[in-house]
Amino acid sequence: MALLDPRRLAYLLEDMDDAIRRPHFALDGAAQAARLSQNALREEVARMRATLHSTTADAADAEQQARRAAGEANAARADAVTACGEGEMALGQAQQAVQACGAARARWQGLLGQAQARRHAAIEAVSRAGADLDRAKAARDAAAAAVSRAESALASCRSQVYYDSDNRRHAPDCSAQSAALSHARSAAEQAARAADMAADALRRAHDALHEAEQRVQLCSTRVAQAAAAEQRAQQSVNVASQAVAMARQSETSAGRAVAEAEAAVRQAMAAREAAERSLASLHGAETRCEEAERHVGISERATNDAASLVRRGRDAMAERLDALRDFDRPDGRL
Amino acid sequence: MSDAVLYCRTLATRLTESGQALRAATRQWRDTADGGRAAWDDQAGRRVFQHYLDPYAALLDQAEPSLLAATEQHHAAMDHVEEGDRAAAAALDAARQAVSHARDAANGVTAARSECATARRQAAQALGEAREGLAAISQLGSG
Repeated sequence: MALLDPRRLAYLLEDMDDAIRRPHFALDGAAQAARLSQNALREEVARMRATLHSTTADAADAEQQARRAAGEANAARADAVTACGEGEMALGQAQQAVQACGAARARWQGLLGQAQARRHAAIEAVSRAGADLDRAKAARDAAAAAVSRAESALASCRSQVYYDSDNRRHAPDCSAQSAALSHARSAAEQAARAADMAADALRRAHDALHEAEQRVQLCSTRVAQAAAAEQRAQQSVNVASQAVAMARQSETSAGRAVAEAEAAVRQAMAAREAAERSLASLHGAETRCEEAERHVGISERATNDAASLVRRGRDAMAERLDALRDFDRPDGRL
Repeated sequence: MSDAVLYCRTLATRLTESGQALRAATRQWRDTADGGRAAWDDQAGRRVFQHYLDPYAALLDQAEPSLLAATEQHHAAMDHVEEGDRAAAAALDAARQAVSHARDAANGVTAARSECATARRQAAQALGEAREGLAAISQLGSG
């Protein structure tokens, strides 16, 4: 092997001394840049982890709220359906009550008409019985007067006693008057009985009228009571109709709430899935970060080791350069 | 892209540039060293190359792919971070919408319960009155 001119080797060594530092500087700069980037990445991953922790908690909270809302909305809808059933049942009962009350009122109205007709007939019967009584009384009085007249005629007849020349007493023949009196008395008794019967008939007619009036009063009261009950039943129909309408409104509101809650559950599940995706990304970032840390460590160790090698290499080259200078110096100086 | 992510991206880019500078300097050094090895071919020169300069070149060869790998890992990690941030933002948005829907549902439940309570009270009232009406009618008798 032929050695170069010492002067040229010296130049080469000087070039090498200059060139050997550049990669080291570049490596040192790159390692520092890697460490800076690594630190920033670590901070960013830590921030992401903290954010994700909060986001996951928010998503879990949202899901809890959504599921609670869904449960309550479904329960409210079930209650509304029950209320609808109750309202419809009440409406049915109220309509039945209205019908029953109406039927009762019509029945009592019919009975009232009958009672009024019977009262009217009773009034007429009383009137007729009164007239009959008046006639019977007149007949009785007439018969009594006839009796008096017959008695007078009989007495007058009997008073016509006379004595004949022999002083024999001769009674008149009053058989006709007597028979008339008997007949008159019989007629008077019959007239009196007829009057008594007429009086009885009048009392019975009065009793019947009283009973008819009581019946009219009862029927009138029942008609009024049935009408009042019908009115209350009609009011209950109105209230029941309002209850049904309100229950249906409640069902509609609950249905909307169920739809909102279902949307909330869907969104909450989407939030959870997104949070899980974010968590997977975080794990990926952490894995990459750890892997990068390993490489950054290798680079840093290489930088440190390179520093030692560069220093020692430069020392060796400087030693040789000094030897070359001593060799090339005629007076001991290069 | 958030400021923090942008900063990390910038640093990763700077790291990429540093790696490129290292590659260039290493190549230049290798050329220079090759020339020096040929010129300084005595025992001392071979010793210097064997003990210092060749290990130094080996270190550079080892460090360069590590830096490259670190750069790739940083970029990949930032991709994950950005993807995770997007997913987290979507999760947060969905969670807020869920809470909003849940709040609307709760308001609907409150309204439904109030209406339901009114309906049941009215139904009970109507039912009671209807039964009273039927009882009153039955007490009127048939005449």
